[in-house]
Amino acid sequence: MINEQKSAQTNEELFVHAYKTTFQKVATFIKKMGGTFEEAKDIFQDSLVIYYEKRIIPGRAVQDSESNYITGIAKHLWYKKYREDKPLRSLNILPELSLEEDEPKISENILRFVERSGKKCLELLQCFYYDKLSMKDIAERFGFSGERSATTQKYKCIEKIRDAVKERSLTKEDFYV
Amino acid sequence: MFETQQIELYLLNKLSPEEQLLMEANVLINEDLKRKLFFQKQTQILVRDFGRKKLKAEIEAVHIKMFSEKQFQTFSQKILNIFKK
Repeated sequence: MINEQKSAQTNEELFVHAYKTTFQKVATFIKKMGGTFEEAKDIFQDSLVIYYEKRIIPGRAVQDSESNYITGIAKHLWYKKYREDKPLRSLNILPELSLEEDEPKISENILRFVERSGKKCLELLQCFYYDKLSMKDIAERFGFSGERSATTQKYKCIEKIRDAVKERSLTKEDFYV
Repeated sequence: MFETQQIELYLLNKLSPEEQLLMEANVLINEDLKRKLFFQKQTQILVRDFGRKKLKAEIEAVHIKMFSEKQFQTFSQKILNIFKK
């Protein structure tokens, strides 16, 4: 379920709060497992990305249970990294949690090409697909007259980026990494 | 525009079962639609990758802030102490 209410918090505030409430727990766990500061940092940051993508209400502050949830994701990623088959306690972590593996990924070259040719469109689509903002919020953010106008622009953007990806992938052999 | 919208709803699993069947049948007989569907799916993956890239940069900026600014000195010291032997 996606709750499309307006973010009450910036991403920066969200992540500062997450660092304050959760990084120490994750770092302590990683150290206990023989890991380094850099590994703790990488695992924690990937956990934050997963948490951001899974969160129910965009922009909501990390509550205690959410702090535990992020810590759980971090443990899951650590065990996955080192192929240790230890069961997770008390958390229902989804098996598909992953940022790098098992997921189709677009070539970095294509992404760079599209960033150059259609950055504004990418940003609009990111707000809809990735940040899960409502069309009303998107209309406000991008200065459209209303939801209908923002929706029309969204479809124009999909077509524009779709054509750019098609053009690029038919002329290059680097479609997938 | 309508076709793009239908493809989007199909990819987001938001079509009715009848509309979904119709889309799948059309894809079988319409090569152009099949290509559009494929590249629209790639577009959604691209947008996700773009979003992740920007989000990771935002998180990294927060990390740098937390480990360099004086106001977070107590916090950063606590973390660094964990990794001291």
